[in-house]
Amino acid sequence: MAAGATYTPIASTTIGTAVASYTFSSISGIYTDLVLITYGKSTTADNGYALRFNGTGGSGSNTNYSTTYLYGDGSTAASVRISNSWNISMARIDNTMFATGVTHIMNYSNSTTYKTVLTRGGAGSILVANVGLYRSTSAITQIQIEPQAGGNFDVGSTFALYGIAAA
Amino acid sequence: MASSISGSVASSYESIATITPSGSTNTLTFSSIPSTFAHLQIRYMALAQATSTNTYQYMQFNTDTSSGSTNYATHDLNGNGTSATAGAATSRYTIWSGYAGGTSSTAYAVGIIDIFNYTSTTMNKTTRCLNGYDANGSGGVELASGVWFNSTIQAINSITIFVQEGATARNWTSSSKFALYGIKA
Repeated sequence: MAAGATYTPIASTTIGTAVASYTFSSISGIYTDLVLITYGKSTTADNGYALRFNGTGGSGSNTNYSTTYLYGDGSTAASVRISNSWNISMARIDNTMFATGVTHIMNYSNSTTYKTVLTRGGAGSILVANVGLYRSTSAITQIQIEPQAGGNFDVGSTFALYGIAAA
Repeated sequence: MASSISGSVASSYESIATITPSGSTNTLTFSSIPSTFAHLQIRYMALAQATSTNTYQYMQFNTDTSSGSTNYATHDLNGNGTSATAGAATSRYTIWSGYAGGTSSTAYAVGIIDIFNYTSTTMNKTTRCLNGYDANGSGGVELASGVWFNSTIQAINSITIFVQEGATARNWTSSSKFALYGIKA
């Protein structure tokens, strides 16, 4: 069996001035999967991270995204789905504390299948697991993260992108 | 704000092997797994040649692959876009290991399976799996766990995964991919 070290840091940032979005661009296609670690806070309450790829999506401009949620709030568990959306919903984010999330963008560089994304995250009393679909066969070279309900990412939010290469 | 890409740093996370099933197989095996790591992780992208979304993968270890085995137990928490449900199965012959897609030819199921302390000869082996499948109107997301209660506790040196639609064996498409990684302590 072949072996080789992987899980390589690609890029990371800590937000110094509140911003409406953050973009990882010019992503190399040399990995199999991407892992995005988020530690963030929004300037508005009851928010979420949203994810878009390759400059597509945006409110009213594209419907090639969908998300299926599973979440629990300490009392109940529930599941909802958003189809034909303009972004993938990721983890919960709020304006009172930093929230964490781990998003896996699987087989992002292939050019034959749609791209599926898995996320686990939490903020305060809300725990979320999501699966999302980007209905495009194009390789992903750009990732844009933004607060789903508007507002900004607050100062101190951190985003880190890693690449994992299969043998 | 945008970033550019730079840097490359070696890590304690290593690629061990990748299996791309042919379009005519419903079972794959990672064999001769080295014992030099603390934990294992399987990352997959899978699509079975199925007619419904009731299509899932199942995992077994070493030679404990008989359908008569009762050495495994498994639990899950699932969201199908409408409701959240939890399930369990004990004294069974497999561990639930995630969605394997549906009828779309371009939307694949994906999953990440962690197998902890796989070389231990003193503790039963526990797994967890985050997986999901979304086809813009169907699918689900799942958190699953499993345990292997073999009578003679042994290190895992082989992992077998197979796929079924209901109780019927289905083959993966040839674009499916299963990658095994090792994580050092």
